[in-house]
Amino acid sequence: MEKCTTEDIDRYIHNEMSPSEKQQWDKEIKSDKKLDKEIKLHEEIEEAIREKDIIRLRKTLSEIIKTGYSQEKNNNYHLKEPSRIAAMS
Amino acid sequence: MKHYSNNKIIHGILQNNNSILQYIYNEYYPGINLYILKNNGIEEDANDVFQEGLIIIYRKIKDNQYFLKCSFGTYLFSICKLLWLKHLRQRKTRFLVLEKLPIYLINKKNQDIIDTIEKNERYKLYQKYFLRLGKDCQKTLQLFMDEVPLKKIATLMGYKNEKYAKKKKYKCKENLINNIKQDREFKELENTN
Repeated sequence: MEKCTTEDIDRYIHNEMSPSEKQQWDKEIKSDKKLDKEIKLHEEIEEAIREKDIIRLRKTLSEIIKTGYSQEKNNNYHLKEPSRIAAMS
Repeated sequence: MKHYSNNKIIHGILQNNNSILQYIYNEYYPGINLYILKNNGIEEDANDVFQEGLIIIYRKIKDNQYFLKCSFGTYLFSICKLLWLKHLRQRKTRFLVLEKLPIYLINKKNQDIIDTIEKNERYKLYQKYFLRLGKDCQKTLQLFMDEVPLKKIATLMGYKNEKYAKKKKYKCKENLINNIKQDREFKELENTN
């Protein structure tokens, strides 16, 4: 296809093309593997943006992992606290 | 220490329940961490594998493809293992060392889970770049994805008219797609899949 902008693909995905234009695209996609791939990429990206639940879960998990981390660090820090070492010796 | 049943755990993951997720971390992270450290990984890898392992389980639960044949811990551990083996394999292809896939990874029974893992890899990348867009772009795209009427989007975002709102959407999308396409990992995924 000569010109194939983000806008064109977006309009195709969201059924905003005239019937004749859409028909032409349908035909084109069948023979143009690159275009087909590009459209699939657009669709996947849209689906990924819709996954608010997963974005949220990943955020919660990364926070838990981070604090799990700092807790460990704090513990280590306490063990090495000078006053304790002094008290132990 | 408190102990949760498989059902409670699954429910907790679905609900994004902080104390259940914290429980899973306390209970299962050390074992996974140890496995990764013993197998050429570092702590950061363990964090990533643990996090994505849980997200894959979440995807499975949501697709109704999660059937309890074993304990939750066993399931999580086997998914994390699979993730790590796959990662090691990819790392090797990066160095252009060709190697046969472990039987583990080509076993047909695992195909479902492999599909989910691969989908998750791609979507994680898309989401990473989505979250790196400016707040305006993120919100605009999200509103479009939620199928909010164009007129309302223009009002909510303070755009002068509907035409501009659409233009903005295309521009944000274009940025996002260009950034994704430039990512090294994306290029690799494209070549392997």
